[in-house]
Amino acid sequence: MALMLLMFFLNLVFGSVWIPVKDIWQVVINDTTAIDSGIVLIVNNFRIPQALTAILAGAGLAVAGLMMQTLFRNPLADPSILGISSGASLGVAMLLAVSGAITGHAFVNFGAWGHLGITGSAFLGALLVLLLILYLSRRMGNIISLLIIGIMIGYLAGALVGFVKYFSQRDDVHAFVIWGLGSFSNVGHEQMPYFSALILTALALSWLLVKPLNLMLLGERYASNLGLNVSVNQLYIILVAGFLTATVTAYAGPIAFIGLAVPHLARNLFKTADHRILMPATILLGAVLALICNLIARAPGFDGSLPINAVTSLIGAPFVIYIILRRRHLYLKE
Amino acid sequence: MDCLLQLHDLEIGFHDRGKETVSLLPPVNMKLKSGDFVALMGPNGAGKTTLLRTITGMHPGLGGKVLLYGKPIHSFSKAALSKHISIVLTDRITDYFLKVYDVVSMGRYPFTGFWGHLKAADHELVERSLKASGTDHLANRTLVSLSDGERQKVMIAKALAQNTPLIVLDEPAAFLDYPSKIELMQLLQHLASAEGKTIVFSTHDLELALHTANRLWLMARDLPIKEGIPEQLVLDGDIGHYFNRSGLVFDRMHGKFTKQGQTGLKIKLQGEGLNRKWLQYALLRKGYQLVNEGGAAIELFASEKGFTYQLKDKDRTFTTKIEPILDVLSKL
Repeated sequence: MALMLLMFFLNLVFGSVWIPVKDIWQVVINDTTAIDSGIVLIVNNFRIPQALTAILAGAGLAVAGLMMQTLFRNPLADPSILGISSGASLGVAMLLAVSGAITGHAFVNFGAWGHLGITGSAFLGALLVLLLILYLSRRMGNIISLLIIGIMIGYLAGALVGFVKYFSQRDDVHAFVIWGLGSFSNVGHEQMPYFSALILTALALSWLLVKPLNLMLLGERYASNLGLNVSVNQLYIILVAGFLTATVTAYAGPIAFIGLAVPHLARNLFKTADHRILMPATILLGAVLALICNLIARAPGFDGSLPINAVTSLIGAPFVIYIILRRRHLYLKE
Repeated sequence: MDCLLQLHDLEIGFHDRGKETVSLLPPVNMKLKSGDFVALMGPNGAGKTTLLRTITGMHPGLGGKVLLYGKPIHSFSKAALSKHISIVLTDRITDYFLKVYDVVSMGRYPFTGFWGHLKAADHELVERSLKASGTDHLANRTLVSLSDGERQKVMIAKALAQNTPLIVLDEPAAFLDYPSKIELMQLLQHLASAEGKTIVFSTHDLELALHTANRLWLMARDLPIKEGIPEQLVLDGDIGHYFNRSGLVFDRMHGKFTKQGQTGLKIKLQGEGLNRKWLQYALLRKGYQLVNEGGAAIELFASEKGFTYQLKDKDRTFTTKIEPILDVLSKL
């Protein structure tokens, strides 16, 4: 928790313009009389929303990843495994292509409305895939079949994105690529209340699922014998995790790796499988990791900001490998 | 209320893709009483698992009724059922971080509130279950670090923590080495006799079932289930009947299956004691035929000191080991 606050503060301090800690504190406590108005503007309109977005997106993806890994009893599962983020990509690609075809202009020239349109279409695409997955899961007796179908839907959406891109305007393809790199700076002041409300609601709902999640570690049949209505709870988990993924992807683009890595970090750090501990742990670690990545992406020398996706994988992957290599302790016979 | 579970004209099976029903057995009528320790035996594919899943309410029957305490099992909610029946499966639990204590604690989940928080009394019961199953020294180990036998005992501890009158185990002895099997059976036997648990387990290990269970349920495809005391079922010839397979006959004298159609070599075996018993097993295993009267190619005599063998019209030879005798026989 303290680490998260520290990271939050560092995120406010560092960037293309270095702002003294004292000044930031004054902005935070809303005592702006003695400070340059440019700095107030940067902190209030850019740094704070960006850091908040990183916290919410990191926590949301990490929790979605944790739930997917437990649901499928597979350490490789992540929030994108059911094709939901591919659905978001398809939504964005369709919007860019269709608007380009109708108006004859590249969509990126539409300004602020463009941002909102991209968010909306990503959200719509992700939710449509989520609904499709929920419908299929009702018909499917077996959770592993659902996993495979989810991956296939992901490929399908990816292929369609390829088609759409081929017929799109050059500027729009560029805009799509930029969106696909992920960014925490797309959520402005106006959108922040919606974004945070959606994420916080879904996080609260996922916290209600700790007992079913624990039981699912034993497998469907043991869980059922211990009184759990397995299929209903599987549905809840897909719904909540899918909703988190859809929301984050819509606002910040398809951010890779955090959802896969953070649950592993949490388990190894706390040496437990108990979701009553893992749930808060992944929320905090997800937020911290996202803030660190954001910090690195904006580090001095990189002039502007690196794509978040490159950073998350670049620092996350070696860390996870290191942790997995070190976990021989699990087999120790004390 | 000594009748725990009652099967009334129960038909087991499943619905096919084309909505056709596949029934595995003629209707079953049986009772389970408190303290019963039952082995469910049958060849692979006879429907042992389907029967167990049906009587535990996890799989719908095709017809008839399963009554728990006289009430249809489907009238119990999942939560209520979890307080009456616990199961032990061979399903692998794959999570790397689950510890033995966590798993056994989950046996208490049906009795906890929304967050699954264990009270002091629950922890006490978990500790007791660990002790009773002989796994208390493993409490802080991860599940992945255990041997198959240890893991099976942990799942039994989970069932004990669940504290249900009925425990159903599907193939608990599969994947276990012989000493672990014996240990497991002794544990189950103790739970039935000392703690009054009703225990049903399926196995295809005939010797294991014959020597441990109080009752046997014999199953074979399309035959009605046969139920009784193990020894009586042997005497009545039911075991052989239910496990009939070409090339194998059930040797009632020794309680095991032997190959049919033994090789022509006839052997006369005499003597007493342990040496004779194990020499006889060795000869039967090799498929030789034991005869009492003439026509034997070789005469064997076993005593406390060792073995003597005499080929037709040859001198007697003495040895303390079985292997030289088998070598001689194989050259005939």
